[in-house]
Amino acid sequence: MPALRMAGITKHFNGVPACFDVDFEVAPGEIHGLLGQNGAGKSTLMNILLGLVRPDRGEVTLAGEPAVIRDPNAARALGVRMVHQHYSLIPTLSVWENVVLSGEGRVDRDRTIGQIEEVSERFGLEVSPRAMVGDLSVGEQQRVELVTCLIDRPRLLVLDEPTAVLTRQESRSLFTMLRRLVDQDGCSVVLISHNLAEITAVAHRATVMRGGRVVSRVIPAETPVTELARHMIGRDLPGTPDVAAAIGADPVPIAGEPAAMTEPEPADTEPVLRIVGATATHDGTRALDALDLEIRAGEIVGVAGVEGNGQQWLSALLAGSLPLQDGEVRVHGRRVPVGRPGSTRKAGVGVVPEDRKTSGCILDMSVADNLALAGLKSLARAGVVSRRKLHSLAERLVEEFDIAVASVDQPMRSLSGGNQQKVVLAREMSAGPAVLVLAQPTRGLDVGAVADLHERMRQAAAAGVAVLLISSDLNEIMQLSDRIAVIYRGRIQGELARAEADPEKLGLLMGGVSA
Amino acid sequence: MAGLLASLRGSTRPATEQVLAFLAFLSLGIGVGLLLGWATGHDPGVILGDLFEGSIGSSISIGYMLTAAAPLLLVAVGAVICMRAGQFNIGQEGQVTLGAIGAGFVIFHVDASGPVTIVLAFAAAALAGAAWAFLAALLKFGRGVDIVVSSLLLVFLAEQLLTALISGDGPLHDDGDGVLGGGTASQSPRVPEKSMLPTIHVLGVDVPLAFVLALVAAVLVAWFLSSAHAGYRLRILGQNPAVAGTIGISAPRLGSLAVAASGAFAGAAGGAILMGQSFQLNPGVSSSIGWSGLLIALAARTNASVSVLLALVFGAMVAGGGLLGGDGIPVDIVNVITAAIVVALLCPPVLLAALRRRRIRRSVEA
Repeated sequence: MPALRMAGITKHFNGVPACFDVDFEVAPGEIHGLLGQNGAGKSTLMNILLGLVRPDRGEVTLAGEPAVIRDPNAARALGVRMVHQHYSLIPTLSVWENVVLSGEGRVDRDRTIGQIEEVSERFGLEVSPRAMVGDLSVGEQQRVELVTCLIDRPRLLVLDEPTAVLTRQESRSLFTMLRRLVDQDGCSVVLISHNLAEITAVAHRATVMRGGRVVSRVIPAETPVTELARHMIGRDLPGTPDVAAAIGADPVPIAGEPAAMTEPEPADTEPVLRIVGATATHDGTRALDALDLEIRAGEIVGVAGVEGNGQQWLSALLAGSLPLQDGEVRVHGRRVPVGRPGSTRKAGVGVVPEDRKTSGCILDMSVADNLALAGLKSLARAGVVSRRKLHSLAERLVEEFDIAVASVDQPMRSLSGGNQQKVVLAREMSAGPAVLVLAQPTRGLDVGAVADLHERMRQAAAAGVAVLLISSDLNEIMQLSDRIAVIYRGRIQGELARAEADPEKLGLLMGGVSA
Repeated sequence: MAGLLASLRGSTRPATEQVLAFLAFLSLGIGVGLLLGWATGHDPGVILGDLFEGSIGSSISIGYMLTAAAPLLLVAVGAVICMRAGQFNIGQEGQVTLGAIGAGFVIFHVDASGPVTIVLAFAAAALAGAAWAFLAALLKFGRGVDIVVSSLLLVFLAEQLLTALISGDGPLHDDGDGVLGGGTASQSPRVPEKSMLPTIHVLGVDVPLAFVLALVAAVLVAWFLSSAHAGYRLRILGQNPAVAGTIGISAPRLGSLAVAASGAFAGAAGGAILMGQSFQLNPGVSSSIGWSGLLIALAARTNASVSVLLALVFGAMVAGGGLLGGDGIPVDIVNVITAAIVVALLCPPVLLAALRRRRIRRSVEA
């Protein structure tokens, strides 16, 4: 009898299926890998198990008993616990206080501390109950989360990308502990991961999801990594022809055929943007780890990778807001003092950030102001901004980029997400950048807007701009990039010319395996 | 009034709405205040009569009202600058005190002609206020101290500093001919006649110079924030520091400047108080004008032009309140009415925003 059986699970969000008719089974005392890209439906499936999301259809059975899980408390009562990717700890409280918070009943410090010590001894999880959580490293914080879950003696433990923030050493000890947990206590573990080597090493069985469906069930130890990679990415990588046609692009040739769109510049030209050994941390966690990247004029380089592997930091670095501990960024051979406000913009780098609302535009200023933001100085004479010039600039860009506004004086806040994105794009592209960085640029755009954006990117590249496309949408990357760099845990795991990129190679690189 | 008109620009309909909403809620606030006065056994008619008589009932009253409004407006205008830049300096009360001290040093220790003394005193006042505010900025950007806390605590330090300077052997202490307790009380000498702020005769009203200065400052700041390149940068920093960083705005540099500027205006207000109202330094010389000015800026939603209107209302309350005592009505009632007005004036922006939303929705549907 399986420890967990989820049958026929279907969940739609706004009419879009996140999970479709998913069957998922975990045996008692096994570590079960759950593999897939972003948007594969892993999180939705686990959120349903935890009672955070209600399925449209489907049944959950725990150890043969049908279970109705309405919220995480119900899940806990049934012995199901989860360690989320982002910990839910309160940094200003001590370890034992955090443990108490997730429990029930009276607060009993001595009893709680006793429980923590017992659990940490049994599983070799070093945790000092009186330490302040804010003082702990990320690995230690994860141990606190684990202890909190293990005190309840769960029969099913879900871990969401547990090693993403851990050092190799910490990961190894986590896996040792997980094996002990399944062997000694008969607990079952679901391990969500996109790290192929990891799944191969520790999971007894694995389920691979893609596009909301289960695509395969495998025994990782007996399955070649390359096959796992292929399952994860899928064979139809460059997009089914109709999708590609819908966004106005011809299906891109896969392996073998040479790229037709732009002739890659000869390799000996000096790169416009050169990042060498960029290393940075943020709030004590590794953000970039000796990242190297070069882009030449007229080239579109796509940065692919599973989200959360440092894409946002690469984008922040090029926006000039992430200081480096080591390494350097050069534009046209000149070193840029990154981390200093406006440093990269001054060097000719334009960034369309991923979170346009918080770091791309100013919601409470007008559309015209937002369009002029980067070039205010050129609109000013003797320190006074010319309203006339500002308006004519705004009118021109609104026209050119087809931004739907009633008036350029309209507040940015009142625009749709797609139009806000167009405003940011119009501003960055009109500034005449040497390097244009676009992070997840098509997210939230409709099909027409996507096609338009892609056309503009090609035009920019054709005009000699070095374009860096950071996207978790592989179709987009494959359609546009001359070269594809795969980012994994803050460094470039490998680079592929588009002609040599295939699902297997991409999947391996995204899973942290060197191709 | 160019700034005022500018802030009401756009089509005339929203402008009319703004003025109407302002007047309607002002009346509502006064009404509620009077009601509270009536509830505690005082004739609303008498209260209203006194407030009216004391503020705009005669040309002399108007002069009083403008005298009271001037430092309030200066403080408010400064607060608008730092709030727009996203720097929550709330220590204006202390910066006013420092301004009074700075002006006092010039007035009591520099031997110059009247106009020169006044100009120097204002400069010293602004400098002292700016330096005091800059301390808070320094703590924020240098050591990460919350500016709300540091600027607030500096208020108490400023009070102690003032008391030390005007007591015993302090350099601003009145050594002999003070009116009361000469030589012993903590107070400065009186401001000599030549250093008192003059008035300008306009339409039968003696308009105090300080008010003219404050009004000019308000208009200039309103214009600066809306049109100057630096004003844009200030607003960008306040609205979204992340974006500000990417376009090369250094938060520590511009933020500190904004805080220092707000301190300079508060300091100038301190100078205006000393040379135009109190004519003497004593422990309570700032008389909560820093707090009220801050309140005006916040109630005006950090809009310099609207601050002018509110400063006049506050000035009217202060000036009119002076007459209440004569009718046996506690002056505290003025605070109650002022509070009711402030609460009432927080409503129009909400109302106007709702109206605007409805209009946009209609135009979209049409």
